[in-house]
Amino acid sequence: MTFVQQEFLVFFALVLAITWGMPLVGERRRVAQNVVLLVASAVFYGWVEPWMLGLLLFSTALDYGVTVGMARWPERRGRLLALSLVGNLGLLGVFKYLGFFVTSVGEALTALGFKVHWPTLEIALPVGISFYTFQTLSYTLDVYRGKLTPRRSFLDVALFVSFFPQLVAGPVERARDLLPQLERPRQAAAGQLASGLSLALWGAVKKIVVADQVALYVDRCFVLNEPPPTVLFMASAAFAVQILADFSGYTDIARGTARMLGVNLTHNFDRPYLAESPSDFWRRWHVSFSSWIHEYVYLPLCGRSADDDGPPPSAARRTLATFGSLLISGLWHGAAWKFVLWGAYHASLLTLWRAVSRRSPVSAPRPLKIGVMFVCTVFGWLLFRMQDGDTLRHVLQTAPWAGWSRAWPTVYALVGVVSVGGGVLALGGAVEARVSALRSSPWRPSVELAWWALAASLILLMARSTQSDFLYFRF
Amino acid sequence: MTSSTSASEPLDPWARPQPRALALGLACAAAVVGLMAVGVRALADQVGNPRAAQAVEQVRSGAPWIIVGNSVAQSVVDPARLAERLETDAVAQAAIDGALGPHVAALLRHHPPSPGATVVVLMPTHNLLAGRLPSESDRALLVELLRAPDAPLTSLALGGAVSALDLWTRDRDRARSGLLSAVTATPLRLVSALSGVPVRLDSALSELGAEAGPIAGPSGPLPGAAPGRPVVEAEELPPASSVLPLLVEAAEEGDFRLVVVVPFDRRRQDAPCRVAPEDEAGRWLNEAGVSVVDLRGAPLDPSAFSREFHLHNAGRAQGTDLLAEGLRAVAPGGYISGACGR
Repeated sequence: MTFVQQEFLVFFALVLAITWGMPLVGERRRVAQNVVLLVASAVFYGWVEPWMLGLLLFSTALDYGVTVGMARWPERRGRLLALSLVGNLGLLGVFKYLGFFVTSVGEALTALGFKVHWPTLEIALPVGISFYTFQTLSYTLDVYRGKLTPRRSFLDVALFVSFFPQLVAGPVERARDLLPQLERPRQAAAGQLASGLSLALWGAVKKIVVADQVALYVDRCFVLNEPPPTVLFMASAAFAVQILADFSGYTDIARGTARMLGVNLTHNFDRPYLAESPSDFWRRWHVSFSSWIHEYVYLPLCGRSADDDGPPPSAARRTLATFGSLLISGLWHGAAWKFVLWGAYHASLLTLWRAVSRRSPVSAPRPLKIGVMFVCTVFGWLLFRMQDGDTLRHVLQTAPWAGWSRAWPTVYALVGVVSVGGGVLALGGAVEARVSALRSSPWRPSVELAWWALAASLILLMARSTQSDFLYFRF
Repeated sequence: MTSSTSASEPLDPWARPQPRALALGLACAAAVVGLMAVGVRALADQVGNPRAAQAVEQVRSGAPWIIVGNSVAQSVVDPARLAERLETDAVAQAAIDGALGPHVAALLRHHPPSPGATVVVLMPTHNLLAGRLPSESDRALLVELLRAPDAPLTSLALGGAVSALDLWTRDRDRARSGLLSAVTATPLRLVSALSGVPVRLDSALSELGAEAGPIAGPSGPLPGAAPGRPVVEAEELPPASSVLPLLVEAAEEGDFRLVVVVPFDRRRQDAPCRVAPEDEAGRWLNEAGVSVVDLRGAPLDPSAFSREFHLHNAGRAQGTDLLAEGLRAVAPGGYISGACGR
């Protein structure tokens, strides 16, 4: 099930009514609420492919067992952690990367002159496996490091892994943030419900009014055979708008629905296209995931931990850690070389930025830095969105202005798409922020009612009969 | 959110909303919805559905030959080549992707071509005989083509008169399409004004090799649908209860000649001749005085097909030539067949 399906509205209304309407108090109410949410999460996740619930249950049971084992046999913590890593990453490896690996090895052997006829593996990718694998691993890693006490309640742990608003496309929650919220009694509060609804509606506006419309133009351009580079670049700029609207829209719906259920999820985007540098970009884009990578991959590769105040690592080690973590980050997005290339590109940007900023005596004006970073980001999205390596080869082998006489109408039209799409995102974001800043103002209900009417009208007006999936479902 | 509220926590204005604030909020919400409804209506009046508008434009173009149908017609007919083969001034291509019989009837009944024109209806017979329209987008396209109430057609295709929801969907689709067009048309208009060269995005994209057709078409086929075939097949009606009598009536009233073409069929190329629904429809049309060209058994190279009824770009030239032969040979009310002659 997805957030923009009509079934979801009925499903969520039911879950909300049962969660807040149950006539229980205290701990019994909390447990009952968690049972309802767990069952709802199973229905949400298994709606189309019930077999995928088996994988989710396996991951949950494995990490629950491993963390309980860590508490019981502290001396075996290392082995138990290894078991969790092998189990979770093994599952991810088989379902997400095995086909890619087999194909790539086959192609490499063929290129070396060996005659290889391996069958192509067609393994269905379970929705959200990358997200929940990283989420459940954060729990085990935190218990292993002693930052979190292992939970005895399987119900709470299972709900932490499968909480439906963020199960299939994040935010990637840390156990230390989400678990305590699931362990506290929760009561309905009208203001919380209202602000959750405001946020969820804004998320739906981003998805339906911006992302799905911009996608119409982006998809047309990326299937062109050898398009002029200017068209590809502007289409990538449009894709930058689309992917932000799509993914942050999903996150806002997730955060809004979770808030209505009494749970606060992590803020995942902080105006990423206003980043002034590559490192700034990663502090603003998909924050829950990039901070996960920073804490559990980058810092260990640097030989440090999050609480470590020791001397900074050498430049060489930092560079190695940057490439390692961003290559993993790229591969996390999908089993394809273009994602590896995208990770390597961002790692190169970060490394280059560090070298330049350290030596540069003056700082460039902020608008210039934002502009340069945006152009760099857009080129990254070109790598991310391109159909195959031929596109990149074509771009690199063709003069940037080639085909301009045929390209300019499309380029100018795409300028319109980027401007209007980006404008709606910026303006809507500002309005939503103003609405949520009202907090205790007595006029907040008036403003929110008007905002809901506007958002719902825009959604009704712009919804396509062929709704497209959220982009990050593929990852 | 917890059960307890600390003294430092801000008060929740939703817990006990002020009546004045609620009333103002509801008034604002009503105003927003009202403005939106009025805006949609106003915008819809100025904008047409691009798919329907293009077809109407072609039917009304004054061309002596007009091809009407769905994506099968688009894949079979090269209008310029057909005009050459028929030695006529122009052939207008008014085929609509995804169209079914009721859409063709709506097009010809509500936007009749010039008197004396020849209208060639080319679509698989099961599409032509379709009854109740199966999807929202099919319904929307039909409503878009109607200019006035049409009880015989809407009761057949929609199961009743056009509903308020159908009209809202039409207006909404038009408004959305208008808004999206404005987004890309505005910078293009500026550039066109400066350069003096009028430009359209769809034609610019076509020049770059993109598929033809409007980008922001609101009533595109449903996911998984092959062009020209809805996901849920429409029920096929017997010829006498289908849109065929309505088409004949439109031809008589509009004083244009109607020719129905049964398209090439990959399955029937090697199949033995047998009685098929097409034959029943053909007989009915012949009895009603309508010419039928049956291309099922025509000597078309099998490699020309891309799907059951659709041809590749490369096969279109051969398909157009064979169609031209059939159209040249058919006498009013006659029946020209391929291999499955009768």
